[in-house]
Amino acid sequence: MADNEQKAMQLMAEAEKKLNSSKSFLGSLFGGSSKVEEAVDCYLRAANLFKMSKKWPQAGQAFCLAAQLHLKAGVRHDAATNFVDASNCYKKCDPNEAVSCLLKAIEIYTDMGRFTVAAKQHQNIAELYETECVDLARAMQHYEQAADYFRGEESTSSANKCMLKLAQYAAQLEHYDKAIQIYEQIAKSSLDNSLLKYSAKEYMFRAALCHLCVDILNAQHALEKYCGLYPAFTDTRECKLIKELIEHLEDQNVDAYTEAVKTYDSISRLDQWYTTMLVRIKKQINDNPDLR
Amino acid sequence: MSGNRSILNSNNLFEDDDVDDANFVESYRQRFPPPQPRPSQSPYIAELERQRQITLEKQKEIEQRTLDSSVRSIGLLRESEQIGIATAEELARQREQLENTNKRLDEINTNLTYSQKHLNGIKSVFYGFKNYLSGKSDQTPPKSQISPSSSSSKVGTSSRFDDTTPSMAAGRSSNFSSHPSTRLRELDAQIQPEPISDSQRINKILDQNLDEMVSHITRLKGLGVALGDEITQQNELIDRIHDKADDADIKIGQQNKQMNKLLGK
Repeated sequence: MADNEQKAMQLMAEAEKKLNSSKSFLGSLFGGSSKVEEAVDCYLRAANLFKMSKKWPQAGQAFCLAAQLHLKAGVRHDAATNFVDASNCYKKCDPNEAVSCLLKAIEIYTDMGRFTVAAKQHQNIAELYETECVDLARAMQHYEQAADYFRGEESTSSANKCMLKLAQYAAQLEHYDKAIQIYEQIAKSSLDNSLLKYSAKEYMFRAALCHLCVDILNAQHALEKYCGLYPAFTDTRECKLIKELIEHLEDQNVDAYTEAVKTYDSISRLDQWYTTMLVRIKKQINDNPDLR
Repeated sequence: MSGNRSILNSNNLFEDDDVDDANFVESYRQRFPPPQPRPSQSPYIAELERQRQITLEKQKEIEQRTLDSSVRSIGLLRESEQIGIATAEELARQREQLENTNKRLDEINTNLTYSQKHLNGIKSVFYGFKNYLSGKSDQTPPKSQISPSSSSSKVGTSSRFDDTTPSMAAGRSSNFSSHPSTRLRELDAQIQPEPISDSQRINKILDQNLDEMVSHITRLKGLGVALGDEITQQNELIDRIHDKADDADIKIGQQNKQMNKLLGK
């Protein structure tokens, strides 16, 4: 592995020499462009060798240099691809660098009009903010951008995927209105599709939970609206759970609330988002002794 | 078969007088072996009494196990449904990507025909002249082929939606009304007896759980059928894409060769 690294360093040096040599007068007259191409080639080979020896920062750097040369030469598509490769290398060592590379790539793609690819890169950035350097606000921003681009390119299901993540984080950060809006909209649009209508009940359940975090009366109205939209929703366990929770909330009965949640959990597990929301709703019982 | 016998035994015992019922209820509540009720009676009856308690306990165990297993089944059915739903969403996304690929391949093929014309023009003056003459007629690329196919696919899905929702609603309501358990339950509702004993209560819960399982399984069937249809359609789409990609590949190869010849390599 060490000799891969050495070969890579050699290639980098070679590439730099080629770049510098092309600045001389005769070189730029006769073989300027081919020197640049050869330099780019060297940079790319060096980057691959660094990748093989797992030296991610250097690999990322080499890809970035190659991309900048491509930009100067005017080959935007290759430049963007190299920026994406660079970000893949940086993902493993320095997430911030990876994000900046992806942003540059997105600029190039949106310039060329390739919005689907740009949207996918926005999604990648958002995922980075989700996992590596946790910054939910910026992740939400990028998910929103990605969803907009996807909708512009008529890929509604990819757009819905991004909006769902957006709604999840919005609810976690207590922006309940936005989350409710998104969940209701997706639930309504999924009712139209024979394949996706089975997932409508889950979105309605989530929207109803967000309503419960805000106000009980709202939740009741919303529940009736959903049952009107999708009659089969009334028979589901989710609807029954929400009705029970509303009842216990009105009676301020914490134990019955916990009991209902536990029964539901024994049948189908509630994941972390659900438990966070339910705990928040339960806290409301303790904080509002003057409801009844 | 021993289960049948025990149920027959307990039915006979239900028809006995009230003392046995009270004993029965008490013995459940205590969960201890029942106290010796009448030490003055003959040991034969005591023995029968003990056996009756044992079979009653076995019956309770069996009922509890059945109830637990029905609850577990419901949990499993819900999980399967969730997996099916996730698969459906993934398939929808895939379909969009496939349709995108289809469109782009059509564009590639039209671009390739244009480039072929240019190459022909470069190759010889005669061809160039022919291009000039026929060039005015084929300005519009054959994009019209794309829109009917996509609109027909949309009509296909919407018609299937129309078919499945009324059929599902009608199917569910007809299943519901004609299913023997619900008919019996309506009778029960009219007469309004409260389930007195434990096993009747357990039977009621079991019935409810089984009904829930029926609805889950109906939904799963609908999901499965819809997924199958979607996959068949996508398979056809993939075949078409494969053909177009092969086409483009051959054309690109030919044009590369022509260009190399022209460049004198």
